[in-house]
Amino acid sequence: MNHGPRISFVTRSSTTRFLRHISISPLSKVVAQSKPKPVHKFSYEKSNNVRMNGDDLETPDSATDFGDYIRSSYGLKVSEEEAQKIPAILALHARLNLSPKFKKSTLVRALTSRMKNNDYADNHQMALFGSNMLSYYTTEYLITTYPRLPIGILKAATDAFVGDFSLHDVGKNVWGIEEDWSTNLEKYLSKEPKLFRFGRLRYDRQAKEVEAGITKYSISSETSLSTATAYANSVRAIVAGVFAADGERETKDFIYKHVLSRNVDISSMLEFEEPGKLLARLLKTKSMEAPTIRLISETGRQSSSPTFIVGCFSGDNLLGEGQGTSLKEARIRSCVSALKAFYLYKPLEPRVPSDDSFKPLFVDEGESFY
Amino acid sequence: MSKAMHSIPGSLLRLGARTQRQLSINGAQVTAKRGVVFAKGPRVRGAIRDPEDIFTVKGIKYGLTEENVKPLKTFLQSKLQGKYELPDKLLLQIITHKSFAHGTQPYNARLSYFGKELIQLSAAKYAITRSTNNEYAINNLNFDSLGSYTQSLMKTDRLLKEYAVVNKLDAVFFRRLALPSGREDDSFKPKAIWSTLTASLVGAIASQHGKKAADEFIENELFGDVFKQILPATKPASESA
Repeated sequence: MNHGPRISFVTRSSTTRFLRHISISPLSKVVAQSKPKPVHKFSYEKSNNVRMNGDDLETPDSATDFGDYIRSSYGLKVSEEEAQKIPAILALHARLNLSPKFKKSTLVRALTSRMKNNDYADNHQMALFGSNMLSYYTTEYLITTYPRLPIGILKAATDAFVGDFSLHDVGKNVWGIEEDWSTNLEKYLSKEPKLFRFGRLRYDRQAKEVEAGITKYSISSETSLSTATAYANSVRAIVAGVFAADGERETKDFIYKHVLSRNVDISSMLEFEEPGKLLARLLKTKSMEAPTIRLISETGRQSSSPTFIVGCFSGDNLLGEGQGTSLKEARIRSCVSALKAFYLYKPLEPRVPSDDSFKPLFVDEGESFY
Repeated sequence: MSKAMHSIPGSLLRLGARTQRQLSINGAQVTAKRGVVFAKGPRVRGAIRDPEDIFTVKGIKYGLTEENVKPLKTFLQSKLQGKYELPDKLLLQIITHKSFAHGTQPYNARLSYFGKELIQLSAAKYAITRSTNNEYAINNLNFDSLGSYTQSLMKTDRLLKEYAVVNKLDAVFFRRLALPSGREDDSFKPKAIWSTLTASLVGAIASQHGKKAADEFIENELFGDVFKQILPATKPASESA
């Protein structure tokens, strides 16, 4: 077995050739060739960076004439008259309180994912635009409301608002979009008009339930999507549809109403390994006095269930309070609450840059310590 | 076993290391004190670098001085009669990368993240609002170009870096040098670092003058000449067909 490069050299004193092995671990080749680890991307980042391949896209001679790009797979279109005959579409339109300018046929397109052997216009690129809209307005909202969030938490919070799983929840449980599950035979037997399938979410499934209790996951092609992504894409496409119908300001209102109104617990995303140390360093960089912990009140020290309430002070300023069944627990909790108070700082009456009555933002300096 | 552990001299050494120690070497009294030696210039493994050295990039010392913010300030004043002017403190933050001085100074990471989000949205909006005859357009908005090579190029680090270089935004730029000796090639401008200049500038304009002003800046500045400059060389053969 060859364990690495062999170096041969000839000695002058004799004509014998020596073959000399340099001792190299057999793993060295593997290590040298290994690729850097892929960077983890949140689902909203992935949907922001979807790329269209050249096969399905006719590029004009001048690549910057963006109006002249054509999707070559598009051949069929559900017309406005046809779309108005679909009960599910009418219901969804009314439920979302969409404006009359929002066409029913756009809603049909928003529920059609990119699929194999599909000639109808799909929501693939509308979802890309909707995703850009959603992630910008969420970032803007978070950066204005919590200017000191570390970038990792900022991204996680954005994903909690506009990632695949939360938009799946919006689409399925709040808006009541249904999947197109039934087969053509079932549709025929139930005498359902063929048109009605356009009122449901249609996509190439990544996993299929072969029979009750058995799910087949092996199906993956370029167009196949997980259920969450398919739902999320349809929600994103509807956001893009609102933009097309009513403009950017209404889209912003729509996003605030349906997505940013959801409750995301950002405080629980912050975890500190050594809160005491971290707080001490933070106060040092802010030129404040070192933290001191003082007991505020206690009860039942001798009992089996004592309670202590301590405060974390810098000089005379109370930074945070913590309670626990031991002094140590209370101390750690007080440090954590002081750190959270810092990171979750919220300006009074925050105004986002896209508001009309906008005031210059508080810009944080970034975490100046590690 | 535990008794034997206590008799190891190493553990005593560790105890004594916290304070000054009196030693007797060959009859002479030596006071061992902690001495710090700073290394300057080329990096020496294990040595502590001189703080002066850390706060200096290519002979320019970090600080909120008129000279440091001047290049960016004059650039902003030249754009639309100073419509996008920013406070000096923010200008210094824009030209400081997170890698500078171990991230101890205000840096531009969050601003550039915000700026990149805005550029991404503007790029998409710019593409779909071009005039079109596409029959699948919705309200005259043609979504079909989104995600194509050329459209994706509008939001890449490459374009942002190119803009920063062309407009000399990096005349004063505080970042960690790959080679601290200063022997760095002038053409060594990694796009991941240089793009934060433009992105954080956009983010800062949005944060001080609102989204509308920043949108204007992006459309007039980024998607203008610089975008066209980087375009032809990068058009792939597969797309021109």
